[in-house]
Amino acid sequence: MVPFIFLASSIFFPFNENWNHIIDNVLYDYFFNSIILSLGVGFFTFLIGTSTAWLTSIYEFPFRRIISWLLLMPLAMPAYIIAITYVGIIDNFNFLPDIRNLFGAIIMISLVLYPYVYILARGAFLEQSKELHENSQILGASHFEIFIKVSIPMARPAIILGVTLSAMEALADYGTVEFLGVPTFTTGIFRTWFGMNDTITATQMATLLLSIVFIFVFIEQQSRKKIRYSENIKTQSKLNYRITSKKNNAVIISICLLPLVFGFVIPFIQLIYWSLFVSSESWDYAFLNVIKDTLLLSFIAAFIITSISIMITYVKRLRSKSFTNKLMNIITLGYAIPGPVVAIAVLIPFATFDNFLNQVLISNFDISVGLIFSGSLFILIFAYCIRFLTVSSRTIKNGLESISLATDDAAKSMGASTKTLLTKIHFPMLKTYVLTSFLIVFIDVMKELPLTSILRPFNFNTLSVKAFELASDEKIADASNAAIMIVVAGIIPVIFITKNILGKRNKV
Amino acid sequence: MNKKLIISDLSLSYDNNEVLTDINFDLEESEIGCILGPSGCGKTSLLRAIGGFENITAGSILKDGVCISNKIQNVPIQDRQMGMVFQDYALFPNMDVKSNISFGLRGISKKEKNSRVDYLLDLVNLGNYKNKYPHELSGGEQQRVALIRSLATSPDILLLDEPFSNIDADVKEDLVTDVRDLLKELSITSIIVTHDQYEAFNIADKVAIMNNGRVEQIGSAYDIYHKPSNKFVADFIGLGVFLPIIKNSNGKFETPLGLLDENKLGNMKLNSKDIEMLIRPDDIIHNDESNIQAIVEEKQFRGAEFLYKLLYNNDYPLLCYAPSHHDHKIGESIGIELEIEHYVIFEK
Repeated sequence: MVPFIFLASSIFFPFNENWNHIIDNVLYDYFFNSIILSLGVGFFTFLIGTSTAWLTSIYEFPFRRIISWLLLMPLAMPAYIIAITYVGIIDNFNFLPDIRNLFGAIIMISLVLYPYVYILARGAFLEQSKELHENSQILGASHFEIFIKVSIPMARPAIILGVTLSAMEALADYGTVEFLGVPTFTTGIFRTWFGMNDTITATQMATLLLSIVFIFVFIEQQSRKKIRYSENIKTQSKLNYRITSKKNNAVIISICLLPLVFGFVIPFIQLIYWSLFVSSESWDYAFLNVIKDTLLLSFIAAFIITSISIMITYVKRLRSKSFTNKLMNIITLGYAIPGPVVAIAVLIPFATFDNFLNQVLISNFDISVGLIFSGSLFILIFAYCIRFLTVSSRTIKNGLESISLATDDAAKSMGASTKTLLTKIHFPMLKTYVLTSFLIVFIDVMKELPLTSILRPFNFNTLSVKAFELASDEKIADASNAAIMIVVAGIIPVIFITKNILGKRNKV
Repeated sequence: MNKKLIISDLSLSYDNNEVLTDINFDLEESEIGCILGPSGCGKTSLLRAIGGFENITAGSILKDGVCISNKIQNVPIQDRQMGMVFQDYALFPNMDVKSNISFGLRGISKKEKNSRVDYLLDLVNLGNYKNKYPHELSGGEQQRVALIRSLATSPDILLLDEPFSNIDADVKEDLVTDVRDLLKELSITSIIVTHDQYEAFNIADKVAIMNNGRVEQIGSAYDIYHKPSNKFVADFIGLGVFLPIIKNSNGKFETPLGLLDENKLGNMKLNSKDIEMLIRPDDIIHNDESNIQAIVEEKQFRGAEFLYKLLYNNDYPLLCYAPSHHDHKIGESIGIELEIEHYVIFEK
């Protein structure tokens, strides 16, 4: 909370002369690029996500099962890594169009974010009842008409949720746009902060970006209300997969393979090629140290964040008072806030506090403790909490909501203590969700770029920062080892989540 | 005989919103009581108050003469020796049938646990289901497992919250009878909450009708049907219509279907204005010979009988059961007779 009160208060500071420069020269670009980027990503993820979701939930074709979960693979690929690989590919083949522009950034980010829309839209399509589709057919609608007039409108809340999530991620993106040289709000904040050394202006820009984000959050929360409504309708029977001609099968398979090939296969093969034949980076002691640091940091963050999530969701269940609900909503807004904004919001208050503390200690006791908060892992993990608590607590909350309150009462009526209730009933039922939350945070921290690169202590490096630094220094191929590790680690939760959660619900 | 359960002057509020008001109800040992009422009348809140899930705001609940709930004190659920069957059964999905049933059994050997589980499963003919998981069972089977799970700890009182609401109609009737037989066999004092009057009539020794957080009437199923104490109960239970009663020029009371029998009125004192009489479909007998004629407006075929909705004298709707071979067309006039055992008369 405190960091954001601080952030909001920045607009009361006087606007200095750097603003003149920003308004005259770059503000329009930042604004235009950021908005077009998020709208463009929203559009393309909608296009790719809903079309593949529709095909895999309506038609029966060879390899349907495997293709329907392979379509999630690009989720494992951070957008800045896919951008790095494609830039490398294009440098080798001159006839290919350049992607170092706004449109390129939109395509890169869309290629790895469409699974958000895909997963949500597919879930919604699969829940739609057979009766509804048969009814539309009796009334004379063609398959395509059913898709446009019945399925999409009914799945609208889920689709909006997926599209806004993608659009917000695009708005918050730093690595991709920085690497592709597209000036946006997030890169602008960095440039003002570190390039011009103007913290106040950077903070004010962060506040401006935050208000744009809140508009997205508002849209998303409105759509969430409707989702709850539509989930209440229980379907009687599941849709049968429709069998179609061989020619159609070929078309369907190629459409579904397209995003998969471009979003995962090509970049992944390129990374492996670099790693094996081009990279001059060796698996030396320093690199192993980076791996160790990354795993350690991800583990600690995942552990702490998941534990906090369990605590706050429990408090909420045990005493569902409106105050705790509101508090929870505020705490969990973080996922929408771009990394650079979070970085500014935590660094400045903590640095100020550290300086104050040291001054007091030196003048009174003549000891200096250094930057114990702002210069240590503490601030980094604190920032991750702000950013990832939402994903984590929502996962745990879903799990806890699947346990009916009557279950608690039943256990109590049979004489179970709170401890028995937790250990024998809740924990076994929540296990999958706790592990999912842990994995998601683990991988998110591993992939995270802007927060980590700003807030990490000296002599501490993660794979994502290392890969990005190498790539930015024109040593693209050398970044491949680190990139591969991030991607491979990212595949694990994708498989785990499809198997354990979506598998049970939708029978993929 | 000592009362097993006594509820006196119980009230319950959530945030100044009173959901239960001045409830009085009691049960003898091994009696089956039923709380019947429309949805939202507070019946589940009452059951949860008895179970100790809600803190009451006034009055008291006594079990075996000992106070378990009043304004200040609320014996925790775990210490009440009560079992509860939930509407959605609340079986633990992560445990098989055996572990579900033995969940509440503590402080006894594994062997004793097993024999207890076997005994209970045999009671409901589910001997082979020990190692199945809840999601592998049908609704009726889950319901029976939930029932014996709540009986495993030999509770003093068993609470059942709409236990049959998720059961298909065709198996429900048998199941209701089976559950009643089982509860009687084990002599378990039970309270069942339901909105279904036929369920209540089949299972309960004693029925309490609730409306708007208050108990409207307590009695046997027969009394509640034939001697409803107020208009709400008369309306809620069974079918029926109301006919106006007027005082004729001779000072006698009559309905449009004729004079009232003064012997049956007994010492009932009638006001001359605004009173009416409840007429159940079984109070009207169809007789082709009768000279009282009414016109058939609607009819429902119910297998053994027809339920006719009639209009008498262009003004008074009536309901009448007739054997199903008396098939009359809509619009036809048919003969009826009034044959009432008890007069039920209310002010309008």
